[in-house]
Amino acid sequence: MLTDLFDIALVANILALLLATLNWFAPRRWLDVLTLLGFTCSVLALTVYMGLRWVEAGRAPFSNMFESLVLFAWTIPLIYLVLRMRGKTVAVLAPPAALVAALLLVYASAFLSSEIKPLMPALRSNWLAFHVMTCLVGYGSFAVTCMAAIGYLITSRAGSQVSRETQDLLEAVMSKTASYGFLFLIVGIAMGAVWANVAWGTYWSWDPKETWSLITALIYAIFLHGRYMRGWQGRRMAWIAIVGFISVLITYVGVNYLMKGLHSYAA
Amino acid sequence: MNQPADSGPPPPGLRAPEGIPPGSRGLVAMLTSMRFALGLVSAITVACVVATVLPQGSEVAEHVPNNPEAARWLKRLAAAGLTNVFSSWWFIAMLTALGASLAACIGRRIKILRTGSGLPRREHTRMLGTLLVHAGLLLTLVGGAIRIFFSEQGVIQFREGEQATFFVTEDQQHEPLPFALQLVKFEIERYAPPQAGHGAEGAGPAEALSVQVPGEAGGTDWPVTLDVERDVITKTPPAGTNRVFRVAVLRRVPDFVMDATTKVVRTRSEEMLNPALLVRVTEGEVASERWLFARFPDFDMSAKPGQESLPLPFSMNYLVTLSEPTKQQVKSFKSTLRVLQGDRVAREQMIEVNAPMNYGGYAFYQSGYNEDDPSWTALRVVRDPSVPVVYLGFILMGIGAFLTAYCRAEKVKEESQC
Repeated sequence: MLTDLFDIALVANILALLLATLNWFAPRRWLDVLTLLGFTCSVLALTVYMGLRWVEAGRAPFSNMFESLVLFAWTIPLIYLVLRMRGKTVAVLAPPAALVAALLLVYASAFLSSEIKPLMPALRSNWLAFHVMTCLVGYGSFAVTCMAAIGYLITSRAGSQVSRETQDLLEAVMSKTASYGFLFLIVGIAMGAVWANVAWGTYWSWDPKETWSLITALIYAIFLHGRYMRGWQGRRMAWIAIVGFISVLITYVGVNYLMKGLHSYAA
Repeated sequence: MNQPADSGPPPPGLRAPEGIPPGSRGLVAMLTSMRFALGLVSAITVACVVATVLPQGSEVAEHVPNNPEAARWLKRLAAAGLTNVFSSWWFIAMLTALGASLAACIGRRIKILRTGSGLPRREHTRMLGTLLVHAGLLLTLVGGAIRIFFSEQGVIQFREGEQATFFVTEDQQHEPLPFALQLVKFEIERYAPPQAGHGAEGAGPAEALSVQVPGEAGGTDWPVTLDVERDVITKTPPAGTNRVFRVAVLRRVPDFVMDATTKVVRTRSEEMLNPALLVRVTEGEVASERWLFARFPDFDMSAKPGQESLPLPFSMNYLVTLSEPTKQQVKSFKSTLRVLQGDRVAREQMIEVNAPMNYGGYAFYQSGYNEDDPSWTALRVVRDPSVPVVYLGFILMGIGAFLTAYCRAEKVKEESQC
């Protein structure tokens, strides 16, 4: 059952990728609708997948790299759907969103163990679900910010045939998703700090993961201040968004493998 | 879309600060300057990156033996404070400046919110959101300062039944507790072993009785099953007539030991420390019994002391593949603590990781145990008055970030101040 749901989500993302790419070259209403349907299927299948895994494991399924990648793959189509619901018709972002979600699932199934393993004592806490989920939703938002930034950099090159409207839309998506991501990231960091205080008696210990999550938050704080207080626009914002997402990747993956710390079990 | 708004007359809070001595205006203007804030945040970001890339604190001492050629560079980096970034004066100065900048911005925003009744509701809410984020961050920094100056931390290590009236700080000082703490009980809870038969670790040793007939390739491995007779057929050269032996396992002993006087065999324990098999070999009416030892394959012993084992035209070995002795993963470790005020028991509580005990301003955290001494436990003791301040900061930041993200103004305003 779990494997079936995982496969459904993967196939849904691959179909969404194909449909969204076709829709990009030859826009059709029905292609757009089917793409949204693919994303919806992916989100629903992974929601049920994580729910069943939660029941089977008796704890939140966010304790290792496999489980967090599944959660990450769940957030990206979800954020795309939320953007659509909020009226941002960002069809240009559908192919990369589907591609990234599919690649995350492929990597998780091909290279990581899906075995449900018992938790070490420090992870046996309800804070695990809140902390990891909020952080991963933040990372998912920043992934969409980065996709919009790359899209903006490509479409805003001299001689580009893409309309100014699309560029403006991409810029708006960058700002909006960075705001959402910042909200979830700082709430996730705060929850992690509270959890650390409950588990170890210290809410901040300059652990590499903590420090890199702070670095990420500071980069997006610069982004948001520049955007909303200084009126920065265009390619400069896109580059900051890309640097921010590199920091997200270091926080999420790099720290686990390259640096020793309290989060080493996450590798 | 999202073009900077035309700059009209600035709102009241953006005007030059009033009621501030002229000499201080420049400082306040700098602290509220967006350029200063962005530069400061960028510098803190870079410092944090440096701190995670270069070895810090005690890591430096570990790094040098592995990279002797790096010692010279590390010395220079240490002189610049780059190997102790988070406790260096310049990093703390940057955080202090950030706190001052936040305080100045908060003051300015409060003034705008008080006087800016003409602001659109959405803009008003967004500004309140950014005010709360800044206030939350400032409280977090203040909490960090309180922690540095006023918190106490240390450890208590004791065994069941023992009492502690002090804890040991990081610099090995004994800090007295205003009460006595007794360890009533310590227990380690482990996960249940995996189901047998799935090749899981700890499923038990693999055992076989191996029979090798000379001249035949391979050999036969039989499962160790008591009282089941099996045939061994050998050919006797040169006539080539078959000899048929019947082999049965009569007894299995995991930890063989024989009483020197009575010659009675028994097992010393259920651990597979010296596994042995009692095997009966029968040919026609003749039977002999012998002990085979897994750890001593070249040695067998007649079951009847004093009699030599009969020679056999085949060899037998008792094979045991012992997995490393594995203990199931620890699920939790728990200490039951008793707080004593004189002779009176003020509280008794069980603590474990993620469930500390708070008493008298101190928090006791379950931090360690010893696999080989299950009556011993280690507790971390913390008295940290900064926690409520920091938690309040987190709450304000969360609410503020929500308001800011939700009520983000559609139009972007170009402002030179935060």
